[in-house]
Amino acid sequence: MLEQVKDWDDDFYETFKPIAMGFVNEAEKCLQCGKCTGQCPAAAVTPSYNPRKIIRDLVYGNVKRVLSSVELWQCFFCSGCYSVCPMDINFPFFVFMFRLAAMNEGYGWEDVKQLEGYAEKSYLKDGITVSTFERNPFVMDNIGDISKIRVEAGLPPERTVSPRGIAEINMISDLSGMTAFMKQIGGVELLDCTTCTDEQAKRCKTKPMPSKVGKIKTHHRYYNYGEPGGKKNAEAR
Amino acid sequence: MPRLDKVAQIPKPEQIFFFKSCVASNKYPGIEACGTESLRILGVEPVESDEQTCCGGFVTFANVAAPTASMPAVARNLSLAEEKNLDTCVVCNGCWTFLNEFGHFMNNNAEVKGSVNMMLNMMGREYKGTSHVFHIAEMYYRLKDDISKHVLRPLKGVKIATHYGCHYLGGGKYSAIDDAQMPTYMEELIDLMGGTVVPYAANRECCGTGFTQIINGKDLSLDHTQRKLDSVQEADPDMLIVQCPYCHSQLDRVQQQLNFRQGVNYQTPVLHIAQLVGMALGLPVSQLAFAAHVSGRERLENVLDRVGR
Repeated sequence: MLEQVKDWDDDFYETFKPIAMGFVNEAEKCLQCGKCTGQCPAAAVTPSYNPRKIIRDLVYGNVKRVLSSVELWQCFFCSGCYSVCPMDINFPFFVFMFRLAAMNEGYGWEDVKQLEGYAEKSYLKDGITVSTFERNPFVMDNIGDISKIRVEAGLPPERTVSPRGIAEINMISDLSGMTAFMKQIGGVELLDCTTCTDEQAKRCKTKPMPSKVGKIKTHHRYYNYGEPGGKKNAEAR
Repeated sequence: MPRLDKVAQIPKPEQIFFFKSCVASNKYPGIEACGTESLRILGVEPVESDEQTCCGGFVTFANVAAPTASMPAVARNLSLAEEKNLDTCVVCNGCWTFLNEFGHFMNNNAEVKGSVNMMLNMMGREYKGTSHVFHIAEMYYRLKDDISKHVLRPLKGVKIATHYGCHYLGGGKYSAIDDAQMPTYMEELIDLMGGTVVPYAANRECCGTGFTQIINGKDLSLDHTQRKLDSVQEADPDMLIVQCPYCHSQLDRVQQQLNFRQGVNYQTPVLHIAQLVGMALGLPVSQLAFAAHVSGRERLENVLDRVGR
């Protein structure tokens, strides 16, 4: 993708810092030593991913290159870069905030959309992010019913979170803007009046809300940092 | 070499708030059962709460939740422990980093703490920041003298490899009890319980889950896990010990997927440190819940035959 003059933003870093809730700072301290890239598990399998270059582009203001890249979405979030960084730059937080910035520009929604269920169907509904649901037939055949194993291990057949706990995280979600954010991703399932408990009925708004707000158009992302990865490209040369 | 000054700071409480993890509860119940039961044997009574929800780290870092929702969710869970005046014990590296680091962030940022408390006050809770978060592996290292006293099933002749996981040592490089590059405390625990430590080249490599990559970028994830498993298989341990249920699920389940996709044959059982300690402390086999494991079950049965059921 060709860069254009308007894609550069000299003040990007300075304006991004306060928005990023203190998670993006000290990038100007980067020595460009490349230790982060050297130990990076993502860079090991896809050589075009390079934390060092992303930090450089942040400080220089090469905004569009970072935000429109595929590489931004290849981070493993392992914090290995932070653990080796001589200047203590917490790069995973950068990626986290960058991804939000990229979503703001219309990139990467298709990836996030796949993960929506964890928040909507599991975290906010049951209070537990990973459910007992299995989609792998081999695992289903071999393990069978997990609640049976739980009982054998001396645990209750199912782990549940109390209704009060669930109501509280839903309240946090509403107050902190998470619900609105998830509506943007593709519509939070509305509680319908037949299944709703008293506590939920109390919170219920009088105005009915549409199940989907807007349709976000996602832009195409590019391999902005070189040859796309893959096993054959990852061999040492 | 563990940082002994950090270890000395870990208290030896009578009770501790046991923070339940989503993967440990719903996929590998043995971790939860062994975690609580082994702590009980070691003289620390685990206290659980139904009101405790997930840490919310996954949905936050998967960018599904707005980042502003993460702080109050962490504060709410920690306030449950504070109500009981207890420290918190977690079994998952992800929970540990998320609760610990975001707790620190709030404790050192009065503005954020104030706004979080404004939200929590509406539901009758308050976050004070008095509950310290400890990983269960830290607790075991702190209680290692008690462990050696209580070993009923010495792991004699069992070859064990370790995998520490990224978010404990890497993400919390100043709060973890060991060095991020050359950790040894799990090896010490294994030695203590009579096992044989098997070194392998890719010990410090990530398990390959890549947080969301196993869902969004499956090729990258499987590629990386295969590198790790190749190295593990070269060393040929009887079991691979992890301290994070998410690494556990990746390393255990991906073996089967790789066997299916690529015609290879990985059969290394993966165990959580809580299960290993539970095994050494002589918990009944049903409580170890190996029935929930996908890979290397035969080898696991073989190990059980050797150490005694």
